[in-house]
Amino acid sequence: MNDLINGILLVLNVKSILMMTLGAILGVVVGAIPGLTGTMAIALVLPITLYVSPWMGIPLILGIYKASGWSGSVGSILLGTPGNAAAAAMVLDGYPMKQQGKGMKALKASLVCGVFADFGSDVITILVCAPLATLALMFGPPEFMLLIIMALMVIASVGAGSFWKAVIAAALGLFFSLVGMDPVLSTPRLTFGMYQLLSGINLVPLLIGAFAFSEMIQKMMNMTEDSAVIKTSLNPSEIKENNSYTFREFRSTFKSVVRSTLIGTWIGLLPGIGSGVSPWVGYSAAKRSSKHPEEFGKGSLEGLVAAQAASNSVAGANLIPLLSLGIPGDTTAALLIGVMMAHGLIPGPLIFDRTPDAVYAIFATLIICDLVYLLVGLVTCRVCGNITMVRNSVLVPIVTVLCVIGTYAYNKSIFDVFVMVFFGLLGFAMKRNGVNVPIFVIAFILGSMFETNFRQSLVLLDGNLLAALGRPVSAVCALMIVGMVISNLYRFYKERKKNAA
Amino acid sequence: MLMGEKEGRSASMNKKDMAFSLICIAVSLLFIFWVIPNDVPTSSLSGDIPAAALPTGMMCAILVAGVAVLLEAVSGKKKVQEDEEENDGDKLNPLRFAVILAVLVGYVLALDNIGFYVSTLCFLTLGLYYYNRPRLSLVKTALISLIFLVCVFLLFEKGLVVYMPRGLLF
Repeated sequence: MNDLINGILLVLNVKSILMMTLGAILGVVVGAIPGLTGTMAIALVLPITLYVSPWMGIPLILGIYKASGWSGSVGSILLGTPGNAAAAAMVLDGYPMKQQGKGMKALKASLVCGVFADFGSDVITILVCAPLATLALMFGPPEFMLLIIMALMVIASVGAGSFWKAVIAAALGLFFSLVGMDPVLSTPRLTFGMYQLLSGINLVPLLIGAFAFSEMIQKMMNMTEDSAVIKTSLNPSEIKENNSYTFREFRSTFKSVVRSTLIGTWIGLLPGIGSGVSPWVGYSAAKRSSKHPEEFGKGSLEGLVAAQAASNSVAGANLIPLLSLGIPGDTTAALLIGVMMAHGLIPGPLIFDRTPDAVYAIFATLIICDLVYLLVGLVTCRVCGNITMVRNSVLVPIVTVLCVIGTYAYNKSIFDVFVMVFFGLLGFAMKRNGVNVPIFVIAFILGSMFETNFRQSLVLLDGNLLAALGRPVSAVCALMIVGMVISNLYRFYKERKKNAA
Repeated sequence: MLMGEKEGRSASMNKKDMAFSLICIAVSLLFIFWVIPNDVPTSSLSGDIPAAALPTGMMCAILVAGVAVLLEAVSGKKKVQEDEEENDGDKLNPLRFAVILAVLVGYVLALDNIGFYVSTLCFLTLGLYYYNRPRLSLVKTALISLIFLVCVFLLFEKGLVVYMPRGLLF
């Protein structure tokens, strides 16, 4: 009980709430500008969070994360252009609603239902995390090794694009994580004589390079297209009810919102799938069970809120594998792991035992953030139209400089800036060739954990990894991996057969 | 999209995939046979694998996946749908890319040699001037850059006590 109260008090203070508010404002602005994403904003503010207490840094990041989850839909509703991949499904009914003069209603409905879904997902996260971590305490190195293999397989098999390119991304991420001192022998490995690489490749330059700098290079290459700004406005309708989202409307769509929340939470729980898939699943489930499926795609409020709820509910659930197993489920969780580790908080089952107040503080932040971004969203609804008109041609040089500043500020090292540029170019090349960058980053983060557990298992089992099958949890994990390989091969075979036909 | 257009796009994607897979194969072979054997120590612990095993394993995975992508590209059976989602800018202008790369690397080198504030002022002013159409005046872009740098100075140097690199100039 003491830990609970201490944890809540860590973030229930003016500084933390101010950081959440700042994060929510940043999240709304960045998410609403087409082409900029919350992930990019988090990567850029990440170095700043290292100079403040974790209970100012983590609320800032969660504020951006949650608010950008909703504001990505602003472009979908007002311009018919999604701010990010997760917001694509919101175009289907959001944009027609705007064309019918219900733009303000659509924004408010998506905000309220998004926050509701976020809250629901947070509650489930709080309930699930601790029992899962208790279960994970029974895991030894072989189990963790198999769990990481399983997570990478899920990510590679369900991620967008080619399976083989996902394998390349994962292998490349794991390879870069091996740079530095060998964990067993403590001798340099793949450092090419550079002493800066002895401690391995720093996570922050890699994150900023792969997520933000690569995007800036991409934009610089295609700037002529971005210079054309789509003008939009959000003039409130003369019909009063077109501007508000009433409780009656919320009640009428309640079932769809709850269903989508559960769908999004389940999808968020699985590593790597993320909010790109969940809105579509939530939307089609709502359409199938709706009394008016014919209205879907023509400005249906139910369709919009179902997609939004499914998208937002992924946010909380993504923290379940992070907090209880130490495995980041998506890119933002990967960024959050960077902040936590920099402050000495190591996510995984032991965090519940060693620093329970920190876990409760994160849970409390999740809940308070929902309320904060609801308020920020309601206040900024009217100016959202103006935010979407910010020109990329002004932002790109500024964000490029911010990438440099953020990387330098992290370690005060020009070498890190070069590392950031290298990973920016690598990320750019990966994106151009359809290679999934988030898989690469998650594999990089899991890499050192994988190697340590893998080599500990080898020493523990005297070089015979098959002996791990004698351990019940390992055997279950191994069976699941075999099942996944078989299902992937079957899917691959079916696709080839379909292509041949 | 017309059928011919689709086929043309698919062919160009296959060419791109071929180039990509060949790079993957070449890089992985280079690492497997030259870099890793020369740069990774060996382990003598009982049960442990050589320290080179994992890096080599990862490179082998890239090699196998690269060959698979190459085979897919050569057989031309790649789905058009996949082509469409892969990226939005197919045409890479090599000259533009080279100029952007040179400017970025030049800027990073200048940070330590000339100094953060002067090099960033130049980079931002030119960047804002070049990319904005209709063009903003040089004075306006310099002013935006200056305001931005003042904010950076106040936040980082005064607020967070992070001193930006000083070179020959400020």
